[in-house]
Amino acid sequence: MRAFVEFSQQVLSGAALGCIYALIALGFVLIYKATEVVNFAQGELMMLGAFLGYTFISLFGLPFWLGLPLAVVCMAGIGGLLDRIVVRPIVGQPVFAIIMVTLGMGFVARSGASLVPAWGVDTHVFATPFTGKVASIGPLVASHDQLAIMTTTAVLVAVLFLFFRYTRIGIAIQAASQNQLAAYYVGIPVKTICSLVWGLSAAVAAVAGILLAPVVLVHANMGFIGLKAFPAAVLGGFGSIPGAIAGGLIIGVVESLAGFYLPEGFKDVAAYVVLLLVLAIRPQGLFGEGLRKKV
Amino acid sequence: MTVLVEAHNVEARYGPVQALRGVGLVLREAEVVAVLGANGAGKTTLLRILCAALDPDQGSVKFLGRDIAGSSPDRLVRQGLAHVPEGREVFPLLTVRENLIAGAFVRRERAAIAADVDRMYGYFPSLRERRDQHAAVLSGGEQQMLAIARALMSRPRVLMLDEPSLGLAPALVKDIFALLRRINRESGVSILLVEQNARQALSISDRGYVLELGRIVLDDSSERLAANDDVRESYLGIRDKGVRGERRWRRKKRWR
Repeated sequence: MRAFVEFSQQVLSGAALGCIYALIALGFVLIYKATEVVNFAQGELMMLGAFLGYTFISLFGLPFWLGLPLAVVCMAGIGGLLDRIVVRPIVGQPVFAIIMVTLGMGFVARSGASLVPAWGVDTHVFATPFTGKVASIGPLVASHDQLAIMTTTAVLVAVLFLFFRYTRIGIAIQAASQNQLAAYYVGIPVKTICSLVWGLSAAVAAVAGILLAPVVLVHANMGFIGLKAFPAAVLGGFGSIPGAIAGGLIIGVVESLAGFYLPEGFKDVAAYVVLLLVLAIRPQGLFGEGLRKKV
Repeated sequence: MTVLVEAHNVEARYGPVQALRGVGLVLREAEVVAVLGANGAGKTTLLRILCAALDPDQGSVKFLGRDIAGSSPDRLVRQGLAHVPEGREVFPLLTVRENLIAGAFVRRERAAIAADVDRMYGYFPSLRERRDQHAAVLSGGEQQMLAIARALMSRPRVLMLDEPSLGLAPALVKDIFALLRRINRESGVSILLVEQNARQALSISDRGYVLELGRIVLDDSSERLAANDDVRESYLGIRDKGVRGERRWRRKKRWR
């Protein structure tokens, strides 16, 4: 019984972390699907989101429920501008050029953040209304931060699902991601849609950053968590939204279990071991789409 | 009748290859016009230029009296020009219904869009049966119907089609062309049809152009084109034997 409780406890905290991976992976997937660009700066977008939240809430003293949406909206704007100014001019260039640009954006974001006087290279404590409270569910314990992460992720994913399924813009985004040329021919302004997707993806990253901030503290290098979210996206089958969520959760849980049961050091490689195993058996990823675009 | 599309002296080249050499063309309100031509005649290039997907190297195209230079396909859709591209190009992972909704992107009235979706199911009953399936699993004919219906969802004044008969069974081609004519009569949409299948295209069109090696070599009413000896021989595969049983390679085409 005790062993089972321990196991469940690890799964619970792994799932909470996994939600963060899932949200970042979601950002990767959104941008990849719509524009076929892999945005390696996704983790840095999350970092900037966390810093903006920290600035609005801790430095400016705005209430959490005002500071959060403000930071999210700002990040959405930054995401859209990045697409417009940095990414769009190089679309159509070789893939490695685009990859280098997104990697470069990550470097710039990291150094840029540490140059901001109030941000710097220090770590900052960022308190949310959830910080420090603990709930017990039967024999299990979960911090309110963890519960907030899981609830928000679930809500966000549900909202995105409805958005893509039922709204005019949502369907247009899907259409543009499946066949850009045809999207132009039915009157969808594909370039605007791309900027919109970058904005959406940066907004999701900002939510992830603000949720994660109380758990890991805010600092300029927190974006490296994107390196764990990347295998989550690949695991799910790059390009699948449910896949990104499932991939994130799996990586989170595996990491948490590995950290608890296996010797020191396994925690950080666990994600990649799982990834390699899954890809060896199912190269297209868990939710990879069997349908290919017809030429 | 009002002129909707007017191309004047359009030239286009791909590197050293000249695809269009001074093409002029007019499409008036409520007309069905066919552009006939063999592979490589420049049909698709012409259509891409007419919908602003490609800029001409020379010459101009006017839509509703305005020059379309610097415009883009999505903007022209807003102004009432829809294009059904070659090879159908449906959205494979959207359902049939979602494809139609995507086609109405430039419109906002939900009720009218829903009514138009129903109207399309009326024109193409097999789409109604498959409305909740992904477009990727439709047959070629159904995908072509979907592509046409999707283009009509924007309520265009001009519908341009690039080889809708490509890869379809002859009976199906006949049905689809008859339907295009019916849609033209019912809704008054002008249709520009670019085709290799001259027989079908001439049977539903009012006028036609013959495009050969980037030049318009004939321009007449569809009836007269169908009766023209050169068209009959080159595009309809009918050869009236001359008195001495002339062989084709002996005769000179008159348009050259």
